[in-house]
Amino acid sequence: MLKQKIARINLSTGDIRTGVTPPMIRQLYLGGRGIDAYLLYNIMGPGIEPLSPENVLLISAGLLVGTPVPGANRCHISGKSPLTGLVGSMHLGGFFASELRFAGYDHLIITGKSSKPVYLWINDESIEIKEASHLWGNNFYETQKLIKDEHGDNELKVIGIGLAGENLVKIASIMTGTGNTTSQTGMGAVMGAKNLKAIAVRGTHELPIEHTEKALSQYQQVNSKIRGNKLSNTLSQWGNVAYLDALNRFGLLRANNHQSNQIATKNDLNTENIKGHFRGKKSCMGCPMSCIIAYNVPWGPHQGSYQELPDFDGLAALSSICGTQDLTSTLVSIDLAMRLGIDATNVGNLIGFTMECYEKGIANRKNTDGMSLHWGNNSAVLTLIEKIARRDGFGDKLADGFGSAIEYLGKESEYYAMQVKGRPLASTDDRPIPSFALGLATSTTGADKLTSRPWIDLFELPQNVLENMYGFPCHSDFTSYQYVGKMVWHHELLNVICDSLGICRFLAHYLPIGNPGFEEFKSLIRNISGLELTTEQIQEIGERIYTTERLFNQREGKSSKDDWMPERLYLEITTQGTPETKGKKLNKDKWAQMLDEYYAQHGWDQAGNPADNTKRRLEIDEALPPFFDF
Amino acid sequence: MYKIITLDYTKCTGCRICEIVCSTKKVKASNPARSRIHVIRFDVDGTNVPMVCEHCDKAPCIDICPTNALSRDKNQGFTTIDYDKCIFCKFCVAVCPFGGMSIDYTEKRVIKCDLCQGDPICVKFCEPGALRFIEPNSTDPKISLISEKLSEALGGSINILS
Repeated sequence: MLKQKIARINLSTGDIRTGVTPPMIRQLYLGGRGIDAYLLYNIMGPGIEPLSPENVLLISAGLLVGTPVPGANRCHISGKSPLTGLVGSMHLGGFFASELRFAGYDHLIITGKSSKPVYLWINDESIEIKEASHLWGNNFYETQKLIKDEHGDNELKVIGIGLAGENLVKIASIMTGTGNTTSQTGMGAVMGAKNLKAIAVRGTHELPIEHTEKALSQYQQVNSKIRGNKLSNTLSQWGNVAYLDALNRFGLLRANNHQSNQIATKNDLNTENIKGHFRGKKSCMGCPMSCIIAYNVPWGPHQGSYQELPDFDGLAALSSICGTQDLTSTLVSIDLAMRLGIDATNVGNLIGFTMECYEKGIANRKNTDGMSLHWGNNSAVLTLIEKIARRDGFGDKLADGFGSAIEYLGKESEYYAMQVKGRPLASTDDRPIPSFALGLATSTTGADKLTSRPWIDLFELPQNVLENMYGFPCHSDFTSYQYVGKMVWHHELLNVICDSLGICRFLAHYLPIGNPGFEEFKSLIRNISGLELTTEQIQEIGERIYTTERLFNQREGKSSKDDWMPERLYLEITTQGTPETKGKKLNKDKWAQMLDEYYAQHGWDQAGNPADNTKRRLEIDEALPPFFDF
Repeated sequence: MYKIITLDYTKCTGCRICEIVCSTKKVKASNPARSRIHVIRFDVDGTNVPMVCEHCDKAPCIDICPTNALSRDKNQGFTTIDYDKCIFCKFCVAVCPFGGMSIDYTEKRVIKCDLCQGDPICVKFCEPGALRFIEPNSTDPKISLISEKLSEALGGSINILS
């Protein structure tokens, strides 16, 4: 288990080196996102252009991936994001990470740039760089099939990019299987910039398990814990699109970019209607939840073909944010985005933004290639997705994200760009919920809802229940700013540990209170890998990883001034919703206080920079053994 | 009466936990390549088909085995391998219509499901209920229908139910 290898592949020279992951780094960073953060911070200097050969592409599997642990299947992908210029840390499910581990590798470090299109073929220990000119120009699904046919093996697993990644669109995704994508930080463009079309892997080696009997019985304990609550069962039945209806009823769903926080409650766009297109539930490796909802594409050139729904954010971005409530066209636009290899959440947000600019007169037919971008224009949504992925005309201006779009449309459009550090906000309206907003604003990867997001906050549980769970004072009112910093801190650490172990956070107490937390992780780590860690040590590892990511961003010039939500959220109030959510906006003074509390909890100074004693405590800048001679 | 594992591909979500737990129990390590059960996944249309030894009544593997290494357990009804007799000719692997027999390259031998001596671990871990451990001639009409169709398709050479 701890003998898993790490490989460095230089695409410029074709040089491939492998070695065992140093045990000391394992102890300090576990694996997955942790070791990725360590590598990114230590092997890359500041100010590197993300689409240049100097950027690294890190692909890794978490410490528990491929073993009998519920939902341990996450593949973590990192590098410097072309969209945000910060940590590009992102993950995807499916079967790739486990296959990579069965081939003997935990980490791939890909550097340089190939002179012609290539793909990597990892067959057990052997790594080959193979010619991919015949794959270039194909969408990901075709590429995946061609590689499988080439090797005559249906069981090999592929990650790769579509057209958008080839065209260096900064919101391009990396995909695997059908519906599993890394969303939002545009790592697909990094692959495209390296001329790397895909990575295929086949592994037949074994992952030794330290205590097999205990591991098997613990799987069932953890599983029954997860199954013991209604929320997980809802998630299991409907995927997280189930929250579309619930959030809309509460007035927490962004509509028409960010103009409203609710769509008509009687509309086409609801979970019940998705049933009509339902084609079954699918799972990632070793996951009892099976939260992937498969559907039939309702119309268009790919009518009737198989597709999988993205998460709730992607669905809402291409529907309510673009002002449409037509479910079938949303399903078609999701399918189109997937086929082009572009991220649904990002592209939906960009289109919603241009639609609002169009309404305000900032964008017009002259500067949008003659398109009429009124709210709910479904055909324009499809055209724009295609144009962005192909970098065609107006699409080219949007393909580099909000920065270049604002530059093109003019300064006054900036107010309508719903983004933090270049990355779009989640599809929830976070004005009434400071904990959600703080998580987005401070995330190391731009407005990332998966960095923290304490959903538990929304349930207004009794104070003593919350205090028992968190171990520090809490507030049961979700509109309160008090103790929010600590709550966000707790969930950041928990999610960082999930990503480093490769466990899907939907199976941790991200949502329901009864799901596994640090205590369960401790025994999972011991039973599977044999590493003896205490819960305090695991929390500290979480702090170390998150602070390392923060240090990377600090080196790229980010500080507390960037940890704010878009101006609009502090000025406009929510107009719809229940008494708790209606008439709310964020408060700047309270925000500043909340940030201070949050920084203090992390041991960062008031400017949001990790303090020297924190770095010493977490042994971040200590000299550690280098993996390779870079 | 003995029991068999029935597979319902319409319920299978393709999570492959059966492969992980099977190998964990049998070889003390997670390794789907050495699992006795396999899930065949079709990415393009999202179909997942679990495949395992069906312990056929008229079993082609038993028929073809040149050394009589494969036989039926008199008490529990399942087919079983005697590794002392097995010469690793792999005829059984080639002849099995279900892909129930596979090769363990680590130990250089053929492997197949032995129903965990009457308590199959894969069934216990199958969350969507695609795997069930039941008596073969139970009154489930779906099972007898599948049995008939299979017999027909394979020219009556095989019968998974008595």
